[in-house]
Amino acid sequence: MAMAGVIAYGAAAVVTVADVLGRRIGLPIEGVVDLVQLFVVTGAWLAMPYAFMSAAHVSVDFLLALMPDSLAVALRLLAAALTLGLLALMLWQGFLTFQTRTMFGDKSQQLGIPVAWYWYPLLVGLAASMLGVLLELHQALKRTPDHE
Amino acid sequence: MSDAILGLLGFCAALVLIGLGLPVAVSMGAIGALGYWYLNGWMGAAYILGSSPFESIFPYSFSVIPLFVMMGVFASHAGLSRSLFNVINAYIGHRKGGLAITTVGASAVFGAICGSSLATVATIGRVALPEMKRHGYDPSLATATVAAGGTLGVLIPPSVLLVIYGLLTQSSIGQLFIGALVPGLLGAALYAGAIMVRVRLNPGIAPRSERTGWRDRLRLTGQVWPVMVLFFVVIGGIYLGWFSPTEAAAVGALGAFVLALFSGELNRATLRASVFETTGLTGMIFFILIGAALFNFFLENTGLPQFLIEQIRNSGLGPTSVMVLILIFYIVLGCFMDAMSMILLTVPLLAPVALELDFSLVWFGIIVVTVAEIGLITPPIGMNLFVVQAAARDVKQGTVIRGIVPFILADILRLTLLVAFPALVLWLPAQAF
Amino acid sequence: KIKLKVSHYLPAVHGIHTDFIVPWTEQVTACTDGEVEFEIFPAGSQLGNVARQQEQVMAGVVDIAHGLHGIPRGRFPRTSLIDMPFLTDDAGAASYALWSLYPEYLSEEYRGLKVLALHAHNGGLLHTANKKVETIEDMDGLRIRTPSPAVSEMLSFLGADPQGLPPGEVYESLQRGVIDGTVFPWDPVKSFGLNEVLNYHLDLGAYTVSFFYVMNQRSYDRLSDTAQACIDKYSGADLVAKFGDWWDQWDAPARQEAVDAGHEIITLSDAQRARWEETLQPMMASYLQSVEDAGVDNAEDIYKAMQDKIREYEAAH
Ligand code: NA
Ligand code: NA
Repeated sequence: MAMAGVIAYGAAAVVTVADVLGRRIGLPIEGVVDLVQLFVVTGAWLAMPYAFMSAAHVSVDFLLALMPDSLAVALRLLAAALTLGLLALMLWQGFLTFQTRTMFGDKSQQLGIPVAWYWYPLLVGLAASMLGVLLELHQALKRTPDHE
Repeated sequence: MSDAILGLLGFCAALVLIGLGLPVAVSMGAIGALGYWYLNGWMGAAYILGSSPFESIFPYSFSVIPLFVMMGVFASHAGLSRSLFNVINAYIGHRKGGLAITTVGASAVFGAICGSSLATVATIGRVALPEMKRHGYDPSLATATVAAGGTLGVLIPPSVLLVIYGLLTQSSIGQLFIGALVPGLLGAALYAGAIMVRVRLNPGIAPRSERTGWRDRLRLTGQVWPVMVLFFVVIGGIYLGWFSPTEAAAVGALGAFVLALFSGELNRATLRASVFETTGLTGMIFFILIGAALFNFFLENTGLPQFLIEQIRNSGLGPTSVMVLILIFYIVLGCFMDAMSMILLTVPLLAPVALELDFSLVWFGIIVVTVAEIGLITPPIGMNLFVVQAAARDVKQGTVIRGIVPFILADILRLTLLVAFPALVLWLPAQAF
Repeated sequence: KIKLKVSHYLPAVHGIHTDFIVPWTEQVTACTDGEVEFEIFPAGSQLGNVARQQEQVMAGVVDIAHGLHGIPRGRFPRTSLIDMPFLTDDAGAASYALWSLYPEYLSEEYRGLKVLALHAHNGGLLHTANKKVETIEDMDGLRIRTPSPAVSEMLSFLGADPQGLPPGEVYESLQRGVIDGTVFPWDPVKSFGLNEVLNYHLDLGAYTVSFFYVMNQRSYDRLSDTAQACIDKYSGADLVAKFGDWWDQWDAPARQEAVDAGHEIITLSDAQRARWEETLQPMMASYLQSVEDAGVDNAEDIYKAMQDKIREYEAAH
């Protein structure tokens, strides 16, 4: 999934560069903006679960390191619960928004790509991110807390 | 309870959650959604929860983020950062504190193509810390140099922070990039100055390395020309109008990948590492954007921005006093937050104040990004300090903090110069546009 | 006392904000003796996203919204027929036609909404940086920023290469030669500082773009009778009638700026305009057909009715 995400980013780069070069010789890529958006949205949401899984999210663990282990574990559980709750709400409401927008038949501005294509990666990414949070929590609780 | 007070409470609540070690994005998102729910009922909260994840990634202008990140990751895994370091060392390594100054230079150049402060610290740290240790450098000087050097790259274009600032304030990204050049180089020069002063006072902390002959210098320089070409194509292309900054990111990403391919260092393992680093970094940045969007929905609804602007407008303080207040505000905030979240959270509040005071938004942006970066190296909490410590496990936190003080002084001098002489920022863009 | 939220996607310095929405809210507040107050969220605020205005007001996140019919595209296929090339170059006529057609032809696109006004801007121009355009042949191969699918079709048909770009990126794209020109009315030329990078303006009067000013029906129903009466008093036909003059007023400074800068402003003669229009006939027929295929069975009728109302307005003015 991570690899697919980076390939999608790569596709965005390739399309853009092809357009930059192509327009010099009169062969621009039609709807390059629509395509780049599609690739970046896809890449971002495929990447998202990995960021949760590897705990890449920016946080300040300075105070955490000073706390007794039991409290630190409790805070970790709170963080995971809050993250899961937020992701679940986003997935639920995101799905409703997705339904509304596909019902309207929304399309990308230039090429008319159905908006659903931009939403599938989002829905998959949010669901997989919840799994990622659980996996990371499992790993973190298994590790012994590390103080210097 | 007035809504503005509620906004202030929400702000503090988010800071508390962040202080307790919760991810910055989750803290902002949760407080934002809860606050919006309280003010507008479930319908409102449901709407922002359903639409923010989409709208925070969808805009075309945000495509620069993953592309610049990719450029940086491939550049580092292709060994480009190590070869840059070797070249600079060949020229000035034999001078007093030369290796430390080399580190500053390498950080500036690498940070310029990478765009992420933390990634720069991690990358340069991997290369420079062992080198400095080998040459008998004092660990306090070595680690602090790496931590401080990491802040330079974000100001030297291309810079994700400047792009985000430009999007938030609708100011020209091209002008911001060009305006950041002089302040970025000034920062590097002042850091080098700080190192030289420190070494002069206490020569024992930095033994000299051997002089490299011109033949070797030229040979090493010959090795890095592809990196130089990439840098000049990306920056020069924007400047010459070959492509827009958004497109420059694509050129840079593809270019770095091609260099990585030809460097021969791209094998299964480094490719794997590149992929995971790219996804980890971009996933993190985009999720922060989503959290910040939720939080800003709430903050905006409380009217706190207008309230703050009113306070500053009625304070009767002159522009300089206001600017000093803003700088202090950022340095304090920098103890809790990373530069990206700070910019996202505060710039929508402060840009109107800046306009009110007739500040140039380009100048203001450079100042804000500079000061947000200083937050990364100010104790007790500074991301760069943590990252460098992660790279040098045997060094105590106190040792790093002791070493960082001269660099913070250099930064304060730089800020004073930029505030006193706006032309340092504004002259170059005025020539280009 | 009740506080209503109004959102729109234009910067707080735009005429839509300063001449239309702010005075409108003040009038309603005064009329209700302060019972109803407003909070306005313009561009730059989280609620200022151009593509989300209709959705926000339908979800009840805001009570009133001002937005573009064409973004996201395809949500108002009937109303958007006013985008057809060469229908009119007059904001007053287009706004009048929209409001006249609203009850019979367009109302089904506004379910759950209380429509306060519909309007459209003055005929757009083709602005170019370094390539002067006078005839259809000059269009060949030019990269032009486009505001709507109808205009994209028109540009492609004329041999140009339409580019979808956010308005905020037009300046840099023009300056760097990424695009050769843009299709805009006068007003945004000034608000985005485009006169700095443009040199030629072809006054085609080729197309217009339409806007809605709508209220959430439930928000409206919740108001007292007095408050409802006040909103009604300042909305509808009376409000719609003001847009002709407003758009003239919003366009004038940009045109003056171009004149002062010594730009070349080319106006088509009637004969030339007729030639452009005639060239475009096949494109317009197929465009109407595509709207019918998309489920608007009476697209042809609506288009005819718009033409009639525009002639009616032009005869009276
Ligand atoms: Na940079
Ligand atoms: Na700090």
